[in-house]
Amino acid sequence: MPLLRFGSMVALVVLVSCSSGCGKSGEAKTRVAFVSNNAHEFWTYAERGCEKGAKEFNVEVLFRRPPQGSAVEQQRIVEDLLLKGTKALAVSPNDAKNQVEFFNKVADQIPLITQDSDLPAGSKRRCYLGTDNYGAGKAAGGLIKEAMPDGGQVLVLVGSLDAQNAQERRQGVLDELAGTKNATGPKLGDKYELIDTFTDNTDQAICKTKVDAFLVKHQGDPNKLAIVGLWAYNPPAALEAVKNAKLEGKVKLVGFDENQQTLDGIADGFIHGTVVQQPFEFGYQAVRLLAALAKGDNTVLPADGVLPIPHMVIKRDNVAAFKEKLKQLLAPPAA
Amino acid sequence: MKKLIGLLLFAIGLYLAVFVKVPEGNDNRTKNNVNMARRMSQLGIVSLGAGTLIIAGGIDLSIGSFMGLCATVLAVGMQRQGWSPPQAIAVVLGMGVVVGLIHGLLVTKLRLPAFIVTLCGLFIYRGLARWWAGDANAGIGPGMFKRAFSEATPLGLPVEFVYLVIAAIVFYLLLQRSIYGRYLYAIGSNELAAKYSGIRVDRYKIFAYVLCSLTAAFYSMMHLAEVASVSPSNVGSMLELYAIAGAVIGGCSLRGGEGNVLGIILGASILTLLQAVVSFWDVPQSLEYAAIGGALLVGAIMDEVLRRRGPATAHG
Amino acid sequence: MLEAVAVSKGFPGVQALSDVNLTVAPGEIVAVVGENGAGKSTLMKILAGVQVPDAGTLRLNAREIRFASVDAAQQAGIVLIHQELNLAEGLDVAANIFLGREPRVGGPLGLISSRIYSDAATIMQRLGLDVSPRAAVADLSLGQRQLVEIARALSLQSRYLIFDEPTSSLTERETERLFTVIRQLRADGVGILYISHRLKEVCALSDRVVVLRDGRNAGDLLREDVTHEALISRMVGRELKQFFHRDQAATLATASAEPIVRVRDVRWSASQKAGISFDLRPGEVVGMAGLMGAGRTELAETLFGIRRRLAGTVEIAGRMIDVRSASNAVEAGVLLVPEDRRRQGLVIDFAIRENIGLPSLGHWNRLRMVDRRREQETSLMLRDKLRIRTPHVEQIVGLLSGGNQQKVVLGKWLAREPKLLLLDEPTRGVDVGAKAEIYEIMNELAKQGVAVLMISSDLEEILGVSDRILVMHEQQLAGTLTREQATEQAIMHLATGGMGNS
Repeated sequence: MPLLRFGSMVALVVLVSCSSGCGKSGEAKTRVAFVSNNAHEFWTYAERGCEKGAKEFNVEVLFRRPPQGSAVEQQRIVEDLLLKGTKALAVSPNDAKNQVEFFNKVADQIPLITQDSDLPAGSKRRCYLGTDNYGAGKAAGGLIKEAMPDGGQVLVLVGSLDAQNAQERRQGVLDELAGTKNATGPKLGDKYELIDTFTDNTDQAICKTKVDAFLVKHQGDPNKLAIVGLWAYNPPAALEAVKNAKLEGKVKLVGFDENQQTLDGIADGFIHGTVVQQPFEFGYQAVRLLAALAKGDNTVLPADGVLPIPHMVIKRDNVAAFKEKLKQLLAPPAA
Repeated sequence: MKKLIGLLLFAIGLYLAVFVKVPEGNDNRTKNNVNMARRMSQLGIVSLGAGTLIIAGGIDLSIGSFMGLCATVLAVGMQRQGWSPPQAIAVVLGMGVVVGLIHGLLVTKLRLPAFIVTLCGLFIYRGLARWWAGDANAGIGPGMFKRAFSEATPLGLPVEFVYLVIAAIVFYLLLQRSIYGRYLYAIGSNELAAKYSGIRVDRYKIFAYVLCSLTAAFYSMMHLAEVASVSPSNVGSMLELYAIAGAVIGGCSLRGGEGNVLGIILGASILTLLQAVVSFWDVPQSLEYAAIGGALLVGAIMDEVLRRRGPATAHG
Repeated sequence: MLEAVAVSKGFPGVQALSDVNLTVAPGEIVAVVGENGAGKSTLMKILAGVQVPDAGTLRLNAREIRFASVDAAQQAGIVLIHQELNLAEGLDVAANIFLGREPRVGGPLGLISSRIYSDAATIMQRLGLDVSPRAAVADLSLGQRQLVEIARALSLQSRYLIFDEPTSSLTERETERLFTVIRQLRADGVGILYISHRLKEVCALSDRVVVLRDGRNAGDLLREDVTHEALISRMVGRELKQFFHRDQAATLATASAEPIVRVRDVRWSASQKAGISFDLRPGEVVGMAGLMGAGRTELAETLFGIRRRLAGTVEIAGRMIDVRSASNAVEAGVLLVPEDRRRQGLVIDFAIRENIGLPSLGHWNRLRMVDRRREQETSLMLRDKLRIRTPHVEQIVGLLSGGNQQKVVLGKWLAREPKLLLLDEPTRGVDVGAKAEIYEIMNELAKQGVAVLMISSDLEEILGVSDRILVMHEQQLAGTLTREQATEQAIMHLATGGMGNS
């Protein structure tokens, strides 16, 4: 019977390949792992940083991305990594609040650091490294002020408000515009007004459709409208929709991250600016810490347990240089 | 029978492939067995529900979204509304019955295609989940619920595995020993003949939809208990495809009337093991889906090619 | 002139046509009549290129022709208008008329020219089809759809049109309209072949009538000789082989019994002029005759609860039964051996045992578990009793012969307790030996007090097996014949719309 033969063949192939391959695992380098929270290309820069770190600090880095961006995938990846003999782990938790218990158990077994998104206070992670999202949000708020100094309406776009970085960035934007803490809108100070926050379930097409519809219905002066996209694909989606409505240059666009279209939009003058993180640094710094922690060296840890990776503001004047730097990063690593 | 042995050997091959990649010592191998048994049991239970429906000639594309809705209702209920676990469980099982009834009634009484009804469900339940949770994550802390559906290890086995064994026995009795099962096979093979035999076809089809939704609801409990966290926008996405794939790999025909409990469980195990192989053999992450799909396709092609070359055998 | 000369055609088990001759000239309407299975449809299919004759020749204007396909026949100008219309319902009228032969514009783009709409309008006008060429076929009535098919045939420049039962689903007005069109076509020089069960129509319309019987020519009547009686005497009039005969004593024994089944004013369709009423006595075997489409299957399905009963009552053994579903009927002891055993009677992938158990499992066991042992014993017992030729009851029924399959369908019901057994064409496609065995089973059941109602299109069978014969015509009970009254003539007289003597 076919499947029978097929099954036994698989078993055979496995046994043969294993008798040659399995012995090696003993003399491998120290294994550390870096786990993202989804499969977005943002993490490709981080992976490059990890590769650089791996060479420099002489460790093997297992880089993993949960394809659907769900907590269950992430936890299963981590479970498997533990069994593969990982000695230290950096993770960007999918659902920080509810995953504390799980990651605390991981931290009991190997050194754990968080990156990009932190676990709530009191967790057993050794250190957090990443962008101060609230600060980055404030920087984006500053860009809106710059572009629309006389005030106006603000529309916020984000994949979903589940994620902590989304909440923090949004709060930073609102607080900067309102000039107070914990601003909620719709009134933001005297000059600014929050119209709405659109979520799109991490779907660029849905994001664009929603903005399209919004621009059709919108009655106010387009010059008094700013759209801020909190996740990497939001600014390009907003730009497309604005172009669609023939309002480019009128509606003020502000974004986060370094999507190619966002950078082109800045170069063309249609997007005022973007606040970028430095994912390459996430990867590199994470591996630096992990390599040391795996050897039991805790001296690398910052005293307050937070290693901030500075954000950068990209506007028309520095966009060309920034693009060049990214291109170098994405060039395939020399063999 | 031979197909089952083939599936079993395939599963064993995959298991060995994972096993050899798990470093020795530190109880790693035992832990890995527990992890895999847990994942395999969860998928196995929902595949049993999906498979029963497929045997009766139906299909449910809303399994993943509905599971997500149930998980969300569980988490939100227990975290924000202070439901006790038994209360939350009762609500979610009730939802399973009601949603299955709605699917079944729309398919049988209004004669809407099952594909359409459950495809609409796929969207509706996802939307309801996000609305119910206010588009925010929800989760549960440690406690009786987590112990009952994930953390307990009776006889040293993950509790999910115990549930799978119970589900397997129940579904075996139902499908392969009871008259309901016989009717479901008859309906799936030839609905008209079943009707002309005086079987209340509509009633049993509705029953199959209810069973399918109930297993999805049960899955949501194990899922939430394991992960503790629910992100309403993506929890359970693609689960319906895994559940259907598990059933089909295990020998269910999408035309209906074929398949059995052991095959379905083996099919679900193979899917789980394939994922583990991809993980442990350091297949580039971007290729994960491609590798799983490719392995299944190769299996299906070999099955078909070798069947055509081999001698014709009677069904049984 | 289109001619078929000494055409023969056989199928496995049946000689459908033997040395049949037929001619039709341009501007002539020739009707072809005969009982069910007389070979009319086969002959028409051969003329239209659907089937190839085993022997004999076809000639068109004295030149021998040979059609490899329907296309080839259409090229030669011969088109068959099917009983089931073959139209693409989603497309509009013009698109259907020109389907596959659309005039194209735009070179390689292959766009369809809008000329089809004006061309279609011209043809439609000729037929008096007054709908827009852009109307969707799905929105048309049956009569209008038929005119679309005719329009399609005319667009092919057809010289000969073959109609297979064109009026079976038309209203009276639509029928009138169709006749006008057919006469118009005759005046235009088109040759018409017209198959119908309705002898009244045949008498009214045709210039000549060709009668077929058992696949042979049985008469060729000119218009002035065509009468109802003349046609019937040629359609039947064969000698009975009488290989099976119901025992006279059995008939007499049942004659005085109190009826066990009382059917009163039953209707299933709003278009029925009156409901159906009849009684059946225990132990009686009643035949139900009628032509294709007379409503016999519909009646049986209504009694069995598969088809919705619009009006009327059914009383079994003194109890009114409310048959809303087949499971109701089964509980009341009303059982049906359906017409299409592969689609309706059996789960073809199931074993004999599983098929036999299907209607009884729920009855046997209150715990709702399959009683494997009882199922096994019952099916073994029935296998022996019904003489199903198989070594074991685990055999998949799809692999059995037609006769053995039919016995399995009977077996399903013998495991229950029938009071009224309905059989719809139970011996169709069954070999002679198995036929006799099926009759024996029917007799056996009758002896136990079951009322048996057998639908059959085989008059010989009806006459041989029945104590009494109900004849249906156009969804009505046309009459009842006692065994003494029953002859092929008498049945055909009623079945073709002659006045009854019930």
